Order: sequence, then C-alpha cells, then structure tokens
Amino acid sequence: MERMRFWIRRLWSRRIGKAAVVLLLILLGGLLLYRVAYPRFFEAYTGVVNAELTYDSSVRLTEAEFEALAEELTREARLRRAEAVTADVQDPFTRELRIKILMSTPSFRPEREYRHIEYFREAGIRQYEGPKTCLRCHETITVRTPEGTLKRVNTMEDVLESVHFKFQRTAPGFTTYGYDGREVNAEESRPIPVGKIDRACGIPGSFSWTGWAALIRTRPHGSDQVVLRSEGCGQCHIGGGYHPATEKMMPIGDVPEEVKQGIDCLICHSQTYDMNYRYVIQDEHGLRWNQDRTMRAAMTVGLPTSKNCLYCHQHNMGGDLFAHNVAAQNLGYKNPRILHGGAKRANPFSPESDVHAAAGIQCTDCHRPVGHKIPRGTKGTDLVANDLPGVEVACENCHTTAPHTQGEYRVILNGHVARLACETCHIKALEPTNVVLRDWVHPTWDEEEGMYVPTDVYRTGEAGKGFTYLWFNGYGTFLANALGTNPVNPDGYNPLMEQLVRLDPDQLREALMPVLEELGKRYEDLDPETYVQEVANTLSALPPEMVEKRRQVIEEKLRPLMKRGQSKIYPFKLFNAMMYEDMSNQGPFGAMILPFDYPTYYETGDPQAAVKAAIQHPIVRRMYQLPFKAYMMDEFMAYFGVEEWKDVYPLQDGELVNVEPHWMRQMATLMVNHGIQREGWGCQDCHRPNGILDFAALGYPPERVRDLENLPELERLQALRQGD
Amino acid sequence: MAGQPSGSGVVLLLGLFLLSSAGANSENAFCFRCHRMETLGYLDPETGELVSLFVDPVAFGRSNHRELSCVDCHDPGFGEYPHPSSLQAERLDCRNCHQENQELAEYRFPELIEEFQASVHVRKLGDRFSCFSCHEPHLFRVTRQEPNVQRVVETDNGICLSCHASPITFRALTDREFPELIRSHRWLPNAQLHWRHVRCVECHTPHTERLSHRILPAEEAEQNCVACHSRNSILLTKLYRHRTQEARERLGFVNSVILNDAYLVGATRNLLLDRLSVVLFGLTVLGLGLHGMGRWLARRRQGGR
Amino acid sequence: MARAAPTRRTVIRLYLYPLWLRLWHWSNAVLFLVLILTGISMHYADLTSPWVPFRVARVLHNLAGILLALLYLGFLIGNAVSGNWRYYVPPCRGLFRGVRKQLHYYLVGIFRGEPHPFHPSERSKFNPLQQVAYLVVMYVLMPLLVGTGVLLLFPEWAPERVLGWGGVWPMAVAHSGVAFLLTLFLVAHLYLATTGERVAENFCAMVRGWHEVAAAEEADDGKDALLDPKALEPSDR
Repeated sequence: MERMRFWIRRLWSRRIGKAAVVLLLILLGGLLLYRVAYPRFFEAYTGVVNAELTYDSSVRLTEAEFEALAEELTREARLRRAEAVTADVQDPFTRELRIKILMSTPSFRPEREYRHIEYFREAGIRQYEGPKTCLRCHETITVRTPEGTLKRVNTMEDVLESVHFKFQRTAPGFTTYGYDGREVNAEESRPIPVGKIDRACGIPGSFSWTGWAALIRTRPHGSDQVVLRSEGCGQCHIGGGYHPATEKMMPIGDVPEEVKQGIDCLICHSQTYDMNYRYVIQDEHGLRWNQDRTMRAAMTVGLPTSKNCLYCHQHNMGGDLFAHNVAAQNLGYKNPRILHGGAKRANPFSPESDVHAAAGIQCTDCHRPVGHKIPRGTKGTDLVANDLPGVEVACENCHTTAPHTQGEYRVILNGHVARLACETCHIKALEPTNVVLRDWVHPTWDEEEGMYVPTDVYRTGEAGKGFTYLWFNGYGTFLANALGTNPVNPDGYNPLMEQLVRLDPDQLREALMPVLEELGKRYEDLDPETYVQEVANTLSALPPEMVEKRRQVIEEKLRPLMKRGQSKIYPFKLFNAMMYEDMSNQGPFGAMILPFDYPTYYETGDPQAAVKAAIQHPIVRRMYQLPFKAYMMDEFMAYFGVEEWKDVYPLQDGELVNVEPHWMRQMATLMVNHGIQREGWGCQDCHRPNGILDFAALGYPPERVRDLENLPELERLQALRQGD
Repeated sequence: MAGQPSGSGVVLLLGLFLLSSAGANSENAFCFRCHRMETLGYLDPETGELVSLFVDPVAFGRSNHRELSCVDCHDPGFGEYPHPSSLQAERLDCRNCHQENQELAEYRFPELIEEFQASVHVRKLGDRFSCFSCHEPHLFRVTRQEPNVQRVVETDNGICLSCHASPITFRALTDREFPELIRSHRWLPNAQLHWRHVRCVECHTPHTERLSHRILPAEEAEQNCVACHSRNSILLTKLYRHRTQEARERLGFVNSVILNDAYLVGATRNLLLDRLSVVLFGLTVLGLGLHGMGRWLARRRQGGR
Repeated sequence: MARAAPTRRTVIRLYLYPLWLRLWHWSNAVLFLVLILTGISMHYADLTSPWVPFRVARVLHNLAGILLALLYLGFLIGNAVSGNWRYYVPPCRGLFRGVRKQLHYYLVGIFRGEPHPFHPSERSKFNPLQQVAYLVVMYVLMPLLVGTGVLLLFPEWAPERVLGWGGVWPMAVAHSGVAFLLTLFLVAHLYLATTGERVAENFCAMVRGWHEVAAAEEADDGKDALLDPKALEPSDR
C-alpha cells in the first residue's frame, strides 16, 4: 500500500506522469460516456426500448425427456426419408409395408440423422437459451469468400453486420440511383443508412419502427369475442427486440448485449422450427415477437435449407394466400398472425410452382452465402440492402448463354438470350393474388377476419397486367423503377413518361368497376370514373411545371444511366398504392408517404387517425427535426428528387397539415425471378399483333414493330406445320 | 422438312427480297435477321463447347467478303428457315472460289496452298487443320486494308493465341503436351512486349518476299535478334510491308514506322541524324586534335625560346 | 610543382577529391565506356556488324545502365549531403565575363603560354566554363539520360503519348540524342584534362585526390575558404 502510494506520488511529481494520468482519466471518462451515457441518451432521443429478452419456449429438459425427444426426432426424419424413397409406389398398402421395412433396415439408418443431438448429449446441453448456447461452440466460423480464400470470423459480429439483422447498409453497393443521377451511397458520396429499415413502402403501408410489432383487436364473423391478432414487420426478422436494430443506424454505438441474445438463430438453422411460436407478446417494456426456443427446434440445427428461407420469404414471393406457404398454415399458438391478402411478388418458390424447387435446388445453391452474408445478385430495382453486392446470382451461372439444349428451335431460342432475360419467357404468370393497386385510403371491412383492411382494388397475375416487360440493365431508381433502354433505339424509350405513368383506362375501368362499386357504398363521395382516371394517369397529381421538370430530370439525369451497360427485356411486377403523402416534400417523382398505425387502421378503419397515431412515434417526430434532417434526411430526399427535406411536422394541433391522399407518381417495378416454368412462352405469344410484348412501348421504331409482329419465318413455319 | 415450301411462305420471302434494295446485302439482311443475334448458337453435344452462329453484321460489312451473298458460299438451301437438316453436314472449301478465280490472281493461291501444305500445322495435324482454323471468312480482311499496324498485330496474334494460349482448344486438336508460350519463348527478351508489337508470323515464317503461309515450327523459327533489329529489318517485308510500300517513298521507313508509334532498337534509325552524329563527332575530334597540335607547336616554340 | 617554377611560386597541395568522389568518378567512367560501346552496337545492329553481338550488348547495356542510374542517385545524395553541390551554382555576376575569359584562354592564351585565368581553390574549384558545362551535364543531360533509359527499360511506364507521338520512340530518340551529346562531352572532357601544368597532372590528381596549386595565387583566392576541402570536386585543369 505504502509502496503504491509512493509510486503514484512519484508519477504525479513528473510532468509526463501527470499528463499520462490525465490522459488515462479522459480515456476512462470517454469510455464510460460511450458505453453507459451514450446508449441511455440514444434510447431517450429515439424512444426505442431495450430490455432483457426472455422466451417461455426455452425450457430445460430432463435426461429422460431429452432422450425421448432425440428418439422421436430421429424416427420422424427417417420416416420422411422412407416416404420420399417410396413416393412412386402406387399401392398404399405396399407403400406402407415398404416404409416399415426400410425403417427397420440397418443400412438405411445413417449413424445420425441430426448430428447436434449427439453434440448436445455430450456437452450436457438440455436447454436452448438463444445465441449464447450456439456460441458455446461456434464463437467463430470459417467462411469461404467469393474469391475462394478462407477466413475466420466472429460469428456474432458476422450476424450483427448482416442485412438479415440490420436491414440496411451504410456503404456503397446499391444498384439504386437517385433521381438526381447519383448512385446511392457511391464511393464519393456521404453514405447514409438505407434499406428496408427506413424505406417507407406502399405494400406494408408502414415502416419498421411504426409497424414493428402490434396486437390487433379483431371481431371475426360469428364471434362476439375480441380476438387478438399479431401484425408487424418484426415477424420476419431475426432480431428479437422491441424495435429494429436502430442503434446500427448510427456511425457509433452498438446494439446492447441483451438484444444480441434475442437473435433467432433457429428460424434459419433448425429443421423443425415451429412457426406457431412466432406471435406478438406483450410484457412490461412493450410489444415484441416471440420465438421457438424449444429443444425440439434446437436439436435439429444444421445449414439452412429452402424451408428455412421460405418461412419468411414465401410471404413476399408466393404470398400468404399461396397454397404451399408453410408459415401461413402455422399462424401462432396465441394471437395468430394476420394473413396478408395481396402478394408482393407473387412468384412462389416451391416444388409446385418452380422447376428448380421441384428439382430439389436449395435457395443457397444460387444465393451462395459467405458466412451469414447472403448475396442478392448484381441487379435490382428496389432500395434493399445487399450483403454481397458484387456477387452474381444469375441463371447464366449454371445454364450458360446457350441454355436451350434440345429441340428444333434451340439455336434461335438461344439467340433470344442476347435481348431477353430467361424470366421473360419462363415466367408466364404470377399468382392471381398479385396486388397491383392497393388503396390504403379507402379501407374495406373484412367480414371473416373482423377488421378493416386496405382495399386491393386490382389483383392480377396476368402478363401485361399484373406484370409488364421493360428494358433493364440491372439498375433501378430510388422508387424502384427499372432502368435500361432499347439498344436499337436508345432515345425512343421512356417508361417513366409512358407505360409506368399511363395505364389503359378502359382496361382498368373494366377491372376495377366491381370493387369500386362496392367501395362506393361506404365512401359516398368516391366517383368511380375520377378514381379510374387518377390511377390511369398518375402524373395528373403533379402540377404542370413539375411534369416539365420531371421530363427534364429524366433526360438529363436518368437517360445516361438508362444507356449504361447491356439492357435486356425483363418481366417486372407492377405496383402502386394510394397513401397519405406529406406534400411539403413533393418532387417530380412523388412525395414522402406517411405510415399507418396498424391497430388504429385495422380496428377503426380510419386511415387519417392511423396516420396521426403513427407519426406521433418518437422516431417520426425526430425525422422532422434538425439533427435527423442533417444526419440523413436531406441526403435521402436528394436521391428522392427533392432538393431538401422540409422539416414541417405534418401534425399540428391534432390535425394533418399539408397532407393529401395520392397514388404514387409512377408504378413501381419489382424484379420477379422465381416461379420459373420449364415451358416458356412460344414464338407466337410475342410475335403477333397485340402479343404479350408491346414492341412499340419498348421503343422499337414502327417498321421494326411491324416486322417483329409479323415474322415471315413464323408464317412459313405455320404453313409447314399445316402441310405436315 | 418434308414437302415443298408453301405458297404463302415463298411469296412472303420474295416480297421481303423485293422490298429491300437489290444485291447481296439485301439477301444477307434476311440471314442477319437471326444471325446478328449475339447469342445465336448451341452447345455441341459431343464436346460440350459453345458453337456460335453469330455473325457480326458490322464486322462482316468491313470484311473482304462483304460483297458476297451468304448463299454464294453456303448452300442455297440455307436461304430459308428452318434450314433443311440435310445441310447440317455442309463442308465449305475456300479453294472453290479462290483457286480458280482470275480476279484473285494476285494472291497466288496455288503457291499459297503449297506453303500451307508445308506448314507445321498441316504436317502435324493433316485434315484437322484447314483455312478456317485461322481465317474466319465472315471477318477476314486483308492486312493492307488496315492502316493501324497495332490492330493488325492484335488481330493476327489473336488467331494464333486462340489455340496456343488455350489448353482446351489446343488439346482438342492434338495429343501433344501444351507448350507454355512464356516458357518456350524464354530466350526472347521482353517477350510480352514483343508479342504486343509484332506478329508471331514475323519469326515463324520463312523470309520471303510476301508473307508465307508456311508456318515454321519452333526450331526453324527466326531467333536472331538482328534479323529485325537492323537497318534492313525483315519487318520491312513483313509487318510493315504494306505500310512502307506507300509511305516509304513519301516519308522514308523511319517516319512511316514512327507514324505507327513503333520503336525498334537498331531499325528505326533516322539516317540524317545518324550521319549528322558521325560528322559532328568527327568535327569534334578534328577540332580537339588541331588544338592539341597547336599547343604542342606553341610549347615547342616557347621551349625553343 | 613539376617543371621549374618561377621563384615566387611555392606549391600547395589541396585535398580536393575525397575518396567517394574519386570512386564515383572512375566507376562512372567505366560504365560510360561500356554503355557507349554497347549502345552503338545495338543502334548500328547488323548481321555483319563488327561490334558486340546484339544479345550480349542488350544484357550489358541494361546492366551498366541500371548501375549508372544508381551511381547517379548516389552522386545526387553525396552532393547534397557533403555540400559539394555549391560548386555547380554559377555566380550571379561576372559569369559571362568569366566564360569569355576562359574561352579566350583556351583559344588564344594557351598558345601564348599565358597563365590559367582561374585556379581551383577550396572555395571554387571550377572555372566558369566548367561550371556551366557541368551544370548542364550533371543536372540536365544526366537526368534526361537516366530517365529515358528507365522508361525504355520499363516501356509500360512511358507516357502513352508525348506531343501526339507514341510514347516509346520519342524516349528512344531522346535517349540516343542525349547519349551522343554526352559522348561528345566525354571526348572534350578527356582532352581538356590534358591542359593542366603537365599533361598527366589532372589525371594523377583524380587518382590520388590531391591537387597542387601555386601558393601565391592560392593565397589570393582561398584565404577565407568557407567549404570543407574534403568535399571538393575534380577539376580538369
């Protein structure tokens, strides 16, 4: 003690020593501020909540229970294999016998069906407690980079930095360009966090903070009781907290340890994950999503299969109403999740609807992961973050540029590959639930579910209606419009002034009338004809000078981008939504849309009240304040085509100010790449007048259109066929 | 393909021909409707290799054969689609046109074919080697039409390298071990630089008045640096033959080479500068000599005094 | 102190050429000869050429060239460190007059047996003509020679286009041109080295490092010598 005091005095007596002590104190103080004070401040400012996350499904098993479960899981797995092997046996009794024989055949029984059962047995793991259980063995993992080298990474860090956890990317690597012509987060720009986390969208009608987890009080048909239903973005995300990974939006700080322990490893890694555990729970801190943390799920962990991906992704691919959506059939032991009627992409990946799924191809065969980072491909129209931007996910990787290998027309079909994407021919229709026009402003009472839902005034999966064909070079605009141009006539193609803003009113009228008549009963001032005209010509919502500016921006900023690279014709799912917009922040391509509060919307059917409730969320208030404006909103709006973020909070004295309901100024176009059919379109499906490809709209000059619609070769072929 | 083409099809085809201006180009336009597709082709079931049927219309329009109609060389049956399957085995031979044609006399085909027969390729590969092994008739363009020597080098070496730099193509033709070019040319200083600026055939053909088709094997190829690196460089009769014929009279060899941005140690000498330097050197030595002599004389005189 | 000196002339020995300088000078000389010989061999390459065979010449020329470049670098560093560079800086005044005086001596005075107009001292060891010539040779021509040589060795570094011409051959022309000028310089340098008191005097000085000056005149020039005599440069006289 005496000695220590002596040393301290000696240190203090020298100038350099004094400086060192002061420096040390400053460092310690800084660390304290950063680790303790900053997170408290951040939570107070953004209004997000963090707390210890517990799950009732995490239960400790006895030895006997563990062994019984191991036996059961192993049997089930073996039974599934036996059933698969005997799938082509016609007679049911014979099949039953064969299965029985196989189940007791020693050579049919591999050493272990699920390898982790043995690992758990040896390590004494009898309870699954989330990531910390996994990290006992998997603290680091070895990953193979796309360049082929091996790298050791910290597993938790790898997950925390993945898009599946943080839903955004604060770095270059977007295929999206702002309407100001700048690549989003390009090397020389000031990067901002962008991705699903902060991108409002007309399909969910809300965004990740205002719509993270909600309990909806519904009154289903034929029941007097209130039924609680779960809803929100959090149902599909691997973080288990009370909000998305908000801390990751800032250049400093990190998500707290208790939130890291809320990550749901099993939803991707377990073969027996039960989606019925995914529902909203309420505790003293707020609402969050429950998880399956049973040993039944934990004991079957392994590399993810398509099944795992599709627990969540079938929601936006096939849609909730798709017959083979597994998650949609397991809605929750409590507070069942709300099914969404209209499908986002409506091109399912399942053996029934996709040739690759039918062949047993797994998602990760094409989207090859590097650790927990999963590539999205090098093309994309929408503002979704991508873990591995440079990594190609493309048909050509396997099929080469000469994919047709048999049949009389293989050569000419291969010739088409230079101009047509594979999807263009091999996706002939989307699911009929494909939502094209969603009206959030005029909700409909859903008798069966007992709640108000947005009205999908137009759902169709037909070619040319539910999806269209556009030139695409891999890039997209900030509001998801495919960029590209006709190589034959680069200046004669302008979808942002033509086919994406002008729909055929007659065709629309015919499709929409039944729904509009129904809506007219509830909304007396809704005039169907005006309604049709407004959605058929979305530019009608813009003042003339804004339309002129739009034309100018397209030619100056977007045209050069459209001419980049090699464009091909791709199919694009079309979408538009009518939502409330903050008209203070309107540009030539649209205005900032405002989110809805789910409970208010579903329970009252009052969309204005739902908007008011949602924008009172602290984070939306912060968006309309200077720090947020300076940190990211100005940059965000520059990409949006609006000079500056006007921080006029649209709610004053309980009333919405300068807020109007509008359709977006153009249809959004989303890539569709799954639901691939072996048999594509035939020659005459396109090469005829009024075929599925509108050659004129695609920018071909009139004489070329005439030629493409009346191929002399085809007439000859037809004549030859008839002659046979 | 049984039966005759139907009436309406023929009429349509004829109509198409009549619509466009007469001549080979319009007939070819019909073929190009499909064959301009970059990805037109198929995977050969036997080799698994891509067989491309793409013909670049722009490159063809620049080629020596641009005046020809497709069916001048190909069987007229190819003039209709779908092509009769009986024609799939079609084998073309350049000699059909080139050997007899008086207009092409300047190319001295009989001589050329003799050289070709004596080349290392034919001696080693026999029938597996043909004109088409090197010359793509849809793109072929005689060297003298290309003013940019650098491009001549790139194109011509590209032909050689398509086999000699690709083990797969090489092994498809021969069982011989694939020789690594960089290893077999280890004797050649700055090999990469040489390959960028001169053609393989400068050294791998005998020195004849006109570039020979007798490609020489490694052991017979030129290995003497001075063959090129000297005033009477063999490049004068090879790579720069066409350049020099017109430009040499006007500008002199050095300038014509310089116009092509080439520099060649020992060969790109400006005679005027060379002579000037000798004269200057001589004058310097002479001047100094006289000065020394003067000093010597002066000292002797002073010493005498 | 060679021949019978006038009575008032006593000889003072000045250590003008330190060892590093002499080593540099003579290695430079050897490399120059090799480079000239091989350079000519390649430039006038021919099947019947009597010079060094092309392949040998190429290797030798590259090797000697790299060494010369390194030596030049060493010279620059040595010069900068030792302060030797100051001898190359011409005076602000009287340079033109000095050059004329020296030229007059070489063209007229030398035949009349006049004394050297300038004498090397610790303060200034070059006569004005030398100063100008060496400045041009060491700081203009040598960098050009070494620079173009390096670019010819690594043609991919050569600027893509120079004045609208291809990148390599202007380098080559410049290289040959500068090399020729330096060859002329070498010849003149050798000859002028014989114009000392004795023909071999300057050669001996460059070997031993000591220069001998008549004391009386030395006293006029060098009494307030500022420079360390150890850092001094060779003279031809």
